[in-house]
Amino acid sequence: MAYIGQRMTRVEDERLVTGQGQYVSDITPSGTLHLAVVRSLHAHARITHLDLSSAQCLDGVIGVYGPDDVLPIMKPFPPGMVDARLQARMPTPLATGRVHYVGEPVAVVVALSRYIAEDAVRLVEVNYEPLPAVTDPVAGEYADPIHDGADSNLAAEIAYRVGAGADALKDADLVVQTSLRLGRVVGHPMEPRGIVAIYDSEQQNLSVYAGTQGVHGFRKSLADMLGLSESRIRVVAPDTGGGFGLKTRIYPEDVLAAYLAMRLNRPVKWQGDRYEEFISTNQERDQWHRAKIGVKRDGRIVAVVDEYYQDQGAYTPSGIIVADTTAVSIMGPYRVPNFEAVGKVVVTNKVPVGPYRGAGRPQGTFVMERLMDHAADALGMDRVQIRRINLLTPDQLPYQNGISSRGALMTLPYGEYQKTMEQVVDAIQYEQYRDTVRCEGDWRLGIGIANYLEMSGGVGFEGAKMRLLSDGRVQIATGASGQGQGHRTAIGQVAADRLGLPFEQIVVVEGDTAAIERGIGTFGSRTMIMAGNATTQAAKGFRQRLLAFAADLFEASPEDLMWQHGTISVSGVPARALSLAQIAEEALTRQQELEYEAYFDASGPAFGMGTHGVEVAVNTKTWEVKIRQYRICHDGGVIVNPLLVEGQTIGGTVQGLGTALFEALIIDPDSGQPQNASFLDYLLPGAGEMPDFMITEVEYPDPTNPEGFKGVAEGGVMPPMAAVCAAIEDALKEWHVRADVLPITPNDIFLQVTRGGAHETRSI
Amino acid sequence: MKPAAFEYVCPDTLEEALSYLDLWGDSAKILAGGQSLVPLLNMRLAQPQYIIDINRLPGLSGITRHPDTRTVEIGALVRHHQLISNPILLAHASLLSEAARYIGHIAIRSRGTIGGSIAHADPSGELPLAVTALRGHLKVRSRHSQRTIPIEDFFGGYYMTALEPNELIYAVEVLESPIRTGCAVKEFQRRHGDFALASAAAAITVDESGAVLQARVAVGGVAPNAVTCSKVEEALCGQTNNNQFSLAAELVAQHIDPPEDIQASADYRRHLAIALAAEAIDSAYERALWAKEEA
Repeated sequence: MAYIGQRMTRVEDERLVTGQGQYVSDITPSGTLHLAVVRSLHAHARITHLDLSSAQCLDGVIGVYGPDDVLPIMKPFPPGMVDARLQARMPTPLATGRVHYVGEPVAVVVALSRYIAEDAVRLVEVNYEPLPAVTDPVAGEYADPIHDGADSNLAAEIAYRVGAGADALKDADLVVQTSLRLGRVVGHPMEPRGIVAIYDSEQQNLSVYAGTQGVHGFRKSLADMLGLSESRIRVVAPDTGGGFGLKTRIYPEDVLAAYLAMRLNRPVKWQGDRYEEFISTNQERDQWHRAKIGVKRDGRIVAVVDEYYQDQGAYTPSGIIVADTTAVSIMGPYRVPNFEAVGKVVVTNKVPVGPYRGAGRPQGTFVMERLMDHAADALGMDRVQIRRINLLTPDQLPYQNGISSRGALMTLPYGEYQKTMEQVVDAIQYEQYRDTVRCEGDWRLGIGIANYLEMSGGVGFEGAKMRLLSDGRVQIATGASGQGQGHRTAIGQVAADRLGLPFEQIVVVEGDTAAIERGIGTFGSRTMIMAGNATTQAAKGFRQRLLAFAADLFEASPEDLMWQHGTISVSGVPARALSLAQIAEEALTRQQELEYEAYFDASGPAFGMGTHGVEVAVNTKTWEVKIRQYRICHDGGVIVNPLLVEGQTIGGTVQGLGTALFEALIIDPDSGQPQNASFLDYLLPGAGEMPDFMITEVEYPDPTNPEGFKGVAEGGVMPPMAAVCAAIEDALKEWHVRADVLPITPNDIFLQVTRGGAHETRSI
Repeated sequence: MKPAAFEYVCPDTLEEALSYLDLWGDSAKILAGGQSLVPLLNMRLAQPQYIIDINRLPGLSGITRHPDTRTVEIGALVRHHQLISNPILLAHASLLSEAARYIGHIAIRSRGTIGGSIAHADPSGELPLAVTALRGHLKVRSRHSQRTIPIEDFFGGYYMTALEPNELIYAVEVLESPIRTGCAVKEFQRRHGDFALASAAAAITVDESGAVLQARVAVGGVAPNAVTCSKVEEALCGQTNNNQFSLAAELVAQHIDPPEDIQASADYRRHLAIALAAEAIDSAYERALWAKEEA
């Protein structure tokens, strides 16, 4: 039986749904001390005075530390992703002199319990001299620099040009321009960040439990900050409740907890809470775009031009990956002969921006799909028809769109994009309703279609280390630490197929630097491409290793051995056979480790195209938006487990619908204070707001890796914003509502309707 | 998200609870269902020295009809889910049942109490809205005294009430709805279970011909507290059709001056309040006609 392609239920689930999971917050070694953080109350201010004495006097407080008390670690974090275009702004673990956002760590308390630590936090006296907060990236570019020693707030400028770029607009029959905004979205994994650090002073080894997406990178950064050799640090990611990119890098609390564990020689734990998640964990989206599309009268794209700002927040923890991926994602699955994008990354007095599911892909998709809709409207053409005309056709693929990203020219592999889109167009009955105004009581119905091109994997390496366990099971360790994806199931399926073993005989271990020497981690929809192919490679070598060992035992040549159903036998002599358990036993007596490790190197990103179609109903009394139907067709490459892939797709889509309709952290423009930093009024989409999703898949194997896998974790989050906005506009044609600012809320729709619709921004 | 330290007591009698309250006054908080207080404690927005848990007090969990005074009395510890299905309320004060359906999620409705909800005085609370519409009374006790406060005198702005620091609500009293009455609550929430951006409650009584005899209308979420709309009520009297109801609902605007916040503009809140009041009136009227048929 082939396991690849089966809808297998997750081996992870029984433990997790019965409460047997072990998360960081479940790990409290005896003698643990608890850390709490004194955070800046101001978006931008000078610290004029810091008095720790009252807090130090509280019963149960072990220590209170300001920047002067932790000098060995008071250095900037190593730049997250080095890029020649970027002047990195990296924080120190505690702010010195100046604070740059509400929530920036100013001091820390270590106490016998988190309760006492929080009591002590309130006793720390910090005097601030407020400075004007920079809260708008456009004006902020020329505002006084928020960082001491910086020339300006412009951290990076990103520029791409294909063909004649913006100059080509003059060849267009029609140029449509629009201003787009995406709100500041807080990622919100179900489990907030946390760490437990345990120091063994005798061995001088540090063990760390942290919910991180990459244990090896975490170890490297921690080693740099602590001035400790990596070999002395073990990082374990236990069960981790979501990451979405927010847990790819170390944060100030991680370094502080680890440093203080060493200094105090006691385990130190910091378990962030939901409020801290709102004011300290990287945020995303938050872009301003001014985009133009030039088209011929027949609908063909002549050029796409975008100028945009990334409201970066105070630091650049992950470089410019979000802003850069935005530009790279704009052209999507279309033929765009001329393209120009100029993006400015401007630091502001807000929580830093770092990748959150999509990392620029959703933003780029939003820009392109909105342009397509507005161009179609201006031409008097159907919105699906303009997409039919411009989607790349099978005979044009593989196609290089002229963008060089991640060290290679983007090359879109074979696919049948029109067929994918038509599946959704048919399923949602687009043609049937496209020219009618549909009403149901007070509700108006509308349909929106959006396409996307999902770029996945494509950088670095990942490994798989196979080892024969004493009971004959095969353990596979990988550096790709999951946070709920179901890797143990999916990698197990690949391994079982490639080793010809029953699935039950495979054990997957993730998230432990002690289990495999090297690794990168799980983000950017890379794990099945990277760790999946590494597993395939390792299976080959592991098999040979076992055959060679068995050949010694049988005193036969490896070529004369057969490997079948977990048993190795001598060809033609079925009596001479050993099970893997017996082989493990032999290996034990001979003191041999039977293991094999393989690393797969990326040769460029995989690409899969997909389409979302949504039908919304808008209430013309309350302007409430309801999602009635949602159809998805996407290219998953070779799909290992459709159940997991659908879970990824639905999960991403829900997050995209959150960005479209509900989510935005509102920052007061004058003070820089977040206005809705709790789940009371930061609205995450709930199950009740979501429709049933109908998903179909196409499988075009990706040519960049032997298994033909594609990443599927970010496709879902890319097009929902554009699709929903299109559907709302369609439903409210009569009022000329324009949905270019996210999230689009009933209040916004009401204001547009009562003010007579959106202002016309098109020009010919 | 850890509360500051507090002392916790869990008295067995109302007298004991009231004596604690008398002793500690402002530095104590009453814990009933805990659905608002516990988050406030965890966020340290409330840091009382003492918590008086009244969940064990006997005699506060009943719903009783008093035919002599034509009133229904609801004990302060009655949970929201009980309001939804209680036969006395369904028969004689169904506006409370209607309102309770909209409160939060099932877990909240299982624990939250009517006394707690009213004492918390959230501007968009469903039970303050319904009791306001019905011109209910709050029965209040302190260690040495007892009084009944009409709800129109009870709320004093956002989360503020007329309760003295040593007083506790022990029951809510409303008049029985007359025969031929229909009730409805409408609210607009961004998501299921959210606080309402605006809400409206209506109890309409019709005469034998089907004309409106008495109307009770209130709106919530659009002012510091729920607001009764007497002009709407007056305009509805004697009316029989939906157009007139819509015109009457427009008068809601004369009773409110909605706040603007990150969720909604003042204009949108006003618009919603009118639209929801119109819907609630229509729906309550229709139910009143059914009640007339049955009577």
